[in-house]
Amino acid sequence: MSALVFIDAHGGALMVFGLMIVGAICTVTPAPRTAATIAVAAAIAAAALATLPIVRGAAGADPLGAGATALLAIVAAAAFIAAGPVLAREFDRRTRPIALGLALMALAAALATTQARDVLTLTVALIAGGLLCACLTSLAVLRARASAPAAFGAVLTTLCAGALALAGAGLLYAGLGAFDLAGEAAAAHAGAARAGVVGAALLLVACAALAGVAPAHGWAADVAAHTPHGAAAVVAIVARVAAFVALIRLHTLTQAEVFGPLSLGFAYATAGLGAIGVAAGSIQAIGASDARRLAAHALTAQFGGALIALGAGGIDGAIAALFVIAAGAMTALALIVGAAAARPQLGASAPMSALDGLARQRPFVAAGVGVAAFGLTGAPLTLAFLGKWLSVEAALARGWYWAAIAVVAASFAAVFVAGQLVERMYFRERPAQIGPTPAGALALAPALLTAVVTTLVFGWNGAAPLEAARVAARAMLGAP
Amino acid sequence: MIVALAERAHLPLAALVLVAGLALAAGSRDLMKRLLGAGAATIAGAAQLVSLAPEAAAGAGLAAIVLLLGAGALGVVLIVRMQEAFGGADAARIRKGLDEDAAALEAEAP
Repeated sequence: MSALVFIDAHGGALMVFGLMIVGAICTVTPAPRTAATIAVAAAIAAAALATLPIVRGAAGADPLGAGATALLAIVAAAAFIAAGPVLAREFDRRTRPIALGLALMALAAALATTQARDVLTLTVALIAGGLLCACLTSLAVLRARASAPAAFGAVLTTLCAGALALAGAGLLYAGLGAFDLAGEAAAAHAGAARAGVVGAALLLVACAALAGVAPAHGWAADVAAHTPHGAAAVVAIVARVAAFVALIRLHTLTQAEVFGPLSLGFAYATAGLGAIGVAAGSIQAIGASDARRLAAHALTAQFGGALIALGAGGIDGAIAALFVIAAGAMTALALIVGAAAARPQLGASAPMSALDGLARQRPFVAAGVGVAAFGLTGAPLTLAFLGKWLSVEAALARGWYWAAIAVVAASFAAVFVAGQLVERMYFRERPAQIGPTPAGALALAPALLTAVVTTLVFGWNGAAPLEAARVAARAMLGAP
Repeated sequence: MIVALAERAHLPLAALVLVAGLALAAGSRDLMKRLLGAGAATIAGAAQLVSLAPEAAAGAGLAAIVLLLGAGALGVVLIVRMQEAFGGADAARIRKGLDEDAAALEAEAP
């Protein structure tokens, strides 16, 4: 009992510092298999620690942080199980432990971001996450020169976003007299909010840039396409979703009373960014020439839908946003793992043609990617359906017909993307130049199963995640 | 008088450097200038935080600055690597090299 109490009280810090330390140990471990075993064990332990409070119904005062941490830890654990054999095809013995260690530390930074309740912790965690993701992408430079510009883009984005976040944190404090993200302390300083408004805006821009929200999403697609396959899920999903959760927290702060009529301006700006994201992500996903780039653009479109719902406001809007990002994370996981399964020579790319004829050689992997593609459309019986439905409802409730149309149009665009994926996997011959799919697909099973089961089971019966999202949304908005 | 002026002017100056640095980071074709612009913006951002926040925030500010210095160092390493791999570190040359890589990839996998 006392162990459970200790975990409830310190589980978050235990996860973050534990993963950081284990990550550092991994980077200096000489044997790659030992490093892979340690990394998988640490990731599974983090997932268990993150899920325990949710299962016990003891998410505490921050259900949003607890839920997002559990989601990301589960995605990362599945990705780490897949990472061992994939990285073995990518790097030599010396580099593999470094990649695993950096990925664990990036996961720790992402989990610190989702749990951060004050602006300073958030800023440091965001910068650490961005830097570690840039380091991971830099490792791929050993295999392909095209990875260098992608990694440099991540460095520039981290520096610029870090600058904005630091300035924003200072201004927020000057305006509101607190670093608190919940907005409760802010209410006491209602008279001096002008600097706080600028600070919140700068922090929002920083989080949006690091989450890869359109129009600052180009670097995220480059990084997703050029990171080592074994670490792609951490860089392209976990880090981005963590920054997006920070964005949700900051948006909620801007809706506090202290911001007065400017709250409406923030809501319109958020929804406008969302509409740009939906349009840019959907169009670029249709034209993507690389499977992982497609996953990144699809996630950008999902973020757009979530921002529209968030901007529309209300409990339904917040629930919709949380549902949409969970569905987006699962879809991206299946696509990225599917790309790793299909590509025999793992350089820094996974051209769409690598998926050609996948169903004949790896029917289960193809089925997993197919389900993810189906989920991308927001079709009924998938996790994304409820999120899109609630997004449309929230937009219509506010009279934002343009936003509702954008969400529906994104679903139609996703049908093209899903059709393209299914056509390649099931109706094309595998080009001889690409060669057969590699062995070791069994290690990818947990990641694919996680994505498929979550997409279909919660699509069939969404009562449990809906209730979890409702609790998180109420806590976020301070509703009874 | 100069000290008083500096005390009043340092925040607007930091904001100006922040904006100019971000503009250079976004608009320059030379990657080293982009990195310098981002670095200048970072210093300006950190100066804003140090000026406006209480002393208790200094630790977090310092941690952020150390991390950003690391990012800057990684940026320099990547620029050196790009100079070796692409024969230069300007955006046009790198774009040309990436287009060549993409064409080679298409030839490998139609």
